[in-house]
Amino acid sequence: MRFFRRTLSLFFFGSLLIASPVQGETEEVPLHQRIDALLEHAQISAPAEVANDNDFVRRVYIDLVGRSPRVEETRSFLTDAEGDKRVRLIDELMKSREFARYYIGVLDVMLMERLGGTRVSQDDWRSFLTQAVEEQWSYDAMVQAIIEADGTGQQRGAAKFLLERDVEPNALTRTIGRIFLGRDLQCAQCHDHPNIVDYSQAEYHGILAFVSRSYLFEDPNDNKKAYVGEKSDGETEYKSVFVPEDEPTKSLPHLLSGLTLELESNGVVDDSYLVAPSKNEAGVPKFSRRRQLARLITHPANEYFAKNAVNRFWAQIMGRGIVDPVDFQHPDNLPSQPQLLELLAEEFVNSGFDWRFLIREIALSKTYQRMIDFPVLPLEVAADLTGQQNGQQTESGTSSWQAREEALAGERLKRARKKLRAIDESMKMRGDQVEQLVKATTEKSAAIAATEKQLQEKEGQRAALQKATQAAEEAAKSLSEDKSLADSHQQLKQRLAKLEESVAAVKKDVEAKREALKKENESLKTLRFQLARDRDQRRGFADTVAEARGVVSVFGRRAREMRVRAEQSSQQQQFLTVNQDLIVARQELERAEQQVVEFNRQRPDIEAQADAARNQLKKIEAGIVEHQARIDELANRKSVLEQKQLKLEAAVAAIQTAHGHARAAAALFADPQLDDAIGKLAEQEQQLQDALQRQAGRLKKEVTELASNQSMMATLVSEQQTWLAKEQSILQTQGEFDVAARSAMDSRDKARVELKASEERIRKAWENRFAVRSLVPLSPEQLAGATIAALELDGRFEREAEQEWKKNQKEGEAEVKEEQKALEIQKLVEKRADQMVSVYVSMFGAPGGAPQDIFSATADQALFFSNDGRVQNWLSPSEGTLVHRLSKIEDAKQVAEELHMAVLCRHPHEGEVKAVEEYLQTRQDDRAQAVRELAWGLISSLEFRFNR
Amino acid sequence: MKCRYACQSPEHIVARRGFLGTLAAGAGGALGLGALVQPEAAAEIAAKKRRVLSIFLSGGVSQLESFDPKPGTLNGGPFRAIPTSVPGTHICELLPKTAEQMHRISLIRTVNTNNNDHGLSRYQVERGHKKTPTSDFPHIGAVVAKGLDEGSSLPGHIHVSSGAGSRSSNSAYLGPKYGSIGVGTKGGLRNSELPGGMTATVNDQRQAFRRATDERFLQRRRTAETDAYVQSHEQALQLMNNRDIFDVTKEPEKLAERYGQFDLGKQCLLARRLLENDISFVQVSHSNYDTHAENFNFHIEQLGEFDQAYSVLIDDLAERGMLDSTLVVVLTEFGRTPRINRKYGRDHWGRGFSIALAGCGIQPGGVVGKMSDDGTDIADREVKPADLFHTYLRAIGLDPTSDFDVGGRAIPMADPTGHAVEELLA
Repeated sequence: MRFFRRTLSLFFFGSLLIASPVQGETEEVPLHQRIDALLEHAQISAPAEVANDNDFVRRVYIDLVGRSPRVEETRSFLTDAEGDKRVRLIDELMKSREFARYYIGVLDVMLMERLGGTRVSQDDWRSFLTQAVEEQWSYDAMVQAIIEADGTGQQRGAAKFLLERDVEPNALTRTIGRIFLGRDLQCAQCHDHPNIVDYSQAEYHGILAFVSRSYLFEDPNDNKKAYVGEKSDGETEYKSVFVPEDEPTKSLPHLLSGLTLELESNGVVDDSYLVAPSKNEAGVPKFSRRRQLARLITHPANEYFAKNAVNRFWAQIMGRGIVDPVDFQHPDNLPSQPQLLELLAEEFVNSGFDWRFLIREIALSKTYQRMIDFPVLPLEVAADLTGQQNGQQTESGTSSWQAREEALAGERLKRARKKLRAIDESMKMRGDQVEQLVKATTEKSAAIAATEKQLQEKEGQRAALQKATQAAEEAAKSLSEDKSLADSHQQLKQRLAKLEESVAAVKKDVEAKREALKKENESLKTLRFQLARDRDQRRGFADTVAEARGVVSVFGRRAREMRVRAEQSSQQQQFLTVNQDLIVARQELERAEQQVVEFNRQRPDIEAQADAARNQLKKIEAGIVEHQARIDELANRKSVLEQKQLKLEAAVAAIQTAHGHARAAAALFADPQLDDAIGKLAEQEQQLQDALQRQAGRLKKEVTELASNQSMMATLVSEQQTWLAKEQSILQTQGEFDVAARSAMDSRDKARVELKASEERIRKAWENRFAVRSLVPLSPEQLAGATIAALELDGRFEREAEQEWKKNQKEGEAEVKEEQKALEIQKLVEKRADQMVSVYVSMFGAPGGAPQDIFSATADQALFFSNDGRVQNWLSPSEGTLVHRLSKIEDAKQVAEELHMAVLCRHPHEGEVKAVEEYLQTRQDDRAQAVRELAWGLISSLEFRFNR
Repeated sequence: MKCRYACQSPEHIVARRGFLGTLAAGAGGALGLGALVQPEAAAEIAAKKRRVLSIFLSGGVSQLESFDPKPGTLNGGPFRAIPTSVPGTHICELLPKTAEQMHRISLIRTVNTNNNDHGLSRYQVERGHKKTPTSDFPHIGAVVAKGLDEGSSLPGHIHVSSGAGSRSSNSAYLGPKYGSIGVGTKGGLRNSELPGGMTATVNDQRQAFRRATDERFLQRRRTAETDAYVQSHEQALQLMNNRDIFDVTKEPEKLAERYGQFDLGKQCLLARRLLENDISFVQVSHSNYDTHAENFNFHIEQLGEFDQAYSVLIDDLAERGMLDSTLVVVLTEFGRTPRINRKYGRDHWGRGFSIALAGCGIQPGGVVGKMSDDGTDIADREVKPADLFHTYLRAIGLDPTSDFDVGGRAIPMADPTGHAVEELLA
């Protein structure tokens, strides 16, 4: 007899062992209140207020149905005076067809990350999601269906997840790790993660072993249509690329949380196929490891599954994960609020993985409804907290006792595991023996049975023969002389004797065989007994393993909690430091700004001084130039005069000589003519002497003037020197001033940067505690939805859809029921909306197959807003649209009101009304166009782009 | 006696004061910016901005008819090898003008993708990783654009084509910001013109209205993301003002003539124009080299265009002093089989083909790797696509072993198993 059984052993510890602090006495309190209570506990100062109705209504529509509210929806909510209107709105929205439609898209992006692909059509995939959402499948059921799907029949759509990744085991391992466990194990494919201790090769290959038998099957008889095939054999081995000389480790399927696929060792898994893999058919094994994965991964004891799911839904609505990024859940990227994550995961499991429940509870919480505006942190609070802080410090850190206990438990675990392996081996051996024995005994029993049957036949023959012999004997007796009768009797007797002999032999044989069988049965019994003992023992060790594992896990968890607490406490410390930094930075900035102002005040004065000096210098320079010219002229004249004087002096000397000679001659000759000549000479000499004198006088005057000019020049030059020095000093002052001013500005700028950084840090701390609502950019789907609602395009879409529907109707066709018509038209409207979504996805979506939560604002997106024909088309004043409606309104105030209500879901402020009035005033020439521009201005605004 | 004040002459005094005055005014007014607007200084700074141009010969250019001729051998084909401006280096006679530029260019003749599929091999060449279903990797252009991102208003990653294109999602985990933007030799940059009938004045008005709305909202909350969004609109306006940068028809007719009045010529000219305006990465492409039949005739035709455009481009970049800061790579998804098939064609060949590099950070005039004489085996120095990636990044001054921080995830800039081709790095 061959028997097999498969069992799953689930070891689960973890979230169930440690109660969260608020659990217990507050069992009946709804989850959303518990979320708030938990976070209130974590706050350092008062969190942001709950948002007003305007912000709330836009936010909740965007998060629950993927669009902003229409103008009438906003108004009706604002005017609703009942106290429970937020709860009612949340419930109403969640019941709507739009909610389902929107969340089908959300789940699509969450699971496929816009990967695309053509192996399974988007329609098939969407109809799977539609079914799952409309029939209210739980999240775990959905994931199970996705992992199990082989692409046949009903499972066509769900198989997209596996098929678009080509059923490539490594791709699936990474994707399953990321999407379903929040753990990006890519590095762990080839080696333990160098930086993240938690991401081990063993974990990676544990998952890989579940999916490594699955493969892509392309049907050769049906256009290579893709299916998921699976084999019933094949094991996974790995070794680290860091230590390639190591023996490869064999990996059995298991999950990090301890969940493992365990085959009972004496039973062999049925490795037969429902459909054997072949060229024409995808393999379907009786025992599918992938199906096991689907069940195990979604098991409540797999804490990572629930935590990842709640974290992703939380991030979807809150704009920021508790673990962030959402696929980096490991000890070095701790959840910002670990207890919150535990609480949500626990309640999610308790709800039966009901993701709607989760969304509803989150939406109902105050935490979700907080304002985006940062609260103010008063300084006194900070001081108080510093006091508190010091008290808490001692708690963190693991004690040495705990460490020893943990180490011992680890040792126990190791020993027990080793023993367990030994038992497993012996059980396997005994199991094999049992199997052989069973086979042998079965054969023997069969042989005995056959012999017995033979014996029976022979006994029958013997009985018949005996009867015949007896009859013959009697007949022979009565007819004793009949020789032939006596002969036949004799013959019969002989035959009977032979037969009896053979019967006896067979009997003997059977007995011998029975004896042997008995012996074998006994040894089988012994073996079975031993096996049973082994199994008991095994159970014992398994319990030990479980227990030790539990201890290790508890210690591990405790250590983790300690770390988290230490982390939180250090976060708080950091927060306070940052807060202090912020205050200092603010003061620094103020001081620097004052300095800059002071410098700016002084600047004109200094510049005036420099200007005055410059003017003065200019004047002096002009004087210098002028005097220089005069001096040059005088010097010239002086040299001319000097020349003249020299000539005159020469002439005088000549005359004097002549005069002298004449006088000497006259003394000798006493000639009256001579006397006359002497007289003339004397006269001339006199004249020359006079002229010389005059000349000397002039020269003297010139020299004096020159001297005076020269002295003037010297004065000027010295004055210039003074002023140059003065200017120099002013310039220097100015230079120093500029350096100082620049450094003041630098330090102001630095202070600004510092302040911004401090603010950023403090805001991050606030956001980590969800004390303030994160400002979340709209997803491409939300942007499209909000644009449709804001520009009131529904009416236009409906009109166009109706036209299209009419065009599609063939003449003479039977009357269509109103209901069906409405449905068909709705589909056509939705098609238009979907087209708009795909425009936004192509412009704003992240590349396929990568995380979609990375925001980027690019110039080409802005160009798209500014100039693209499609945007202009959505803004065209087609009947029923916002732009059309606004162009009919005369009163500018009312235009402002309607515009802001429609696009931003709130009343305009006074300034905004004025801005609209002014805008319309300047564009009186083309009011229709002006209204269009205003609508454009708001849909391309920040406030529209983000979810406030 | 003459009265001169030696070097204290009035002219001299005045001139000196003027100089001091300018300096003081410059320092007081523009706060140090004066130095930067000096043309020489600007040129120096511009020269430091590094850029990459990739010329992608689509379909798989034949190494034997281009950079690695094997004349006179069984597989050599009909063309001769000609000497180049680098003594000892020969290339195919189909590239005579390129041969004259060889002293500015280096070759790698042993690139191995070990893949003969157009898509998969191209993926390796452009992305430096093998394509795996596990994860997608960014185009080299996205990596360069992110690595060299200095917050410019211009896009960092452009693919030139004949008509204006849209954004491609080839940036994987680096996000849409670094996805390539298509710019056409016809039509320039998409959406860079105001919608029909709108005047610049009206645009100013509506933008002012939008800005005022944003200003009000920023009073409530301001984040890095809101800043990025606000900035993206300002960048778009700058792009609209600078749309001429993307318009190849603004280049002088004579220069366009030199580059060639065919698509590749225009693409190369536009690429140079874009690089000159400090766009980090530009890719142009030339097709189609997939010559399963009539390989030789096709190469005469195709390489004729390539030779002209490429050689003029290299020369033009050098003349403008841009080559030192611009890495120019000539890529192709794979080479062609050494064996000539029955239709005088050559088939796909990923196991040893040639690429060319020039400019920024590259030792010019070098040849790396050697194929066997019949061109079928790598005889020396195999180079993998990942190695090329490391080489490009090193050449432009980036560290390929460093990580990008993408939304809190540290992602290696290049495949950690690659190594730069050190002997080519300047």
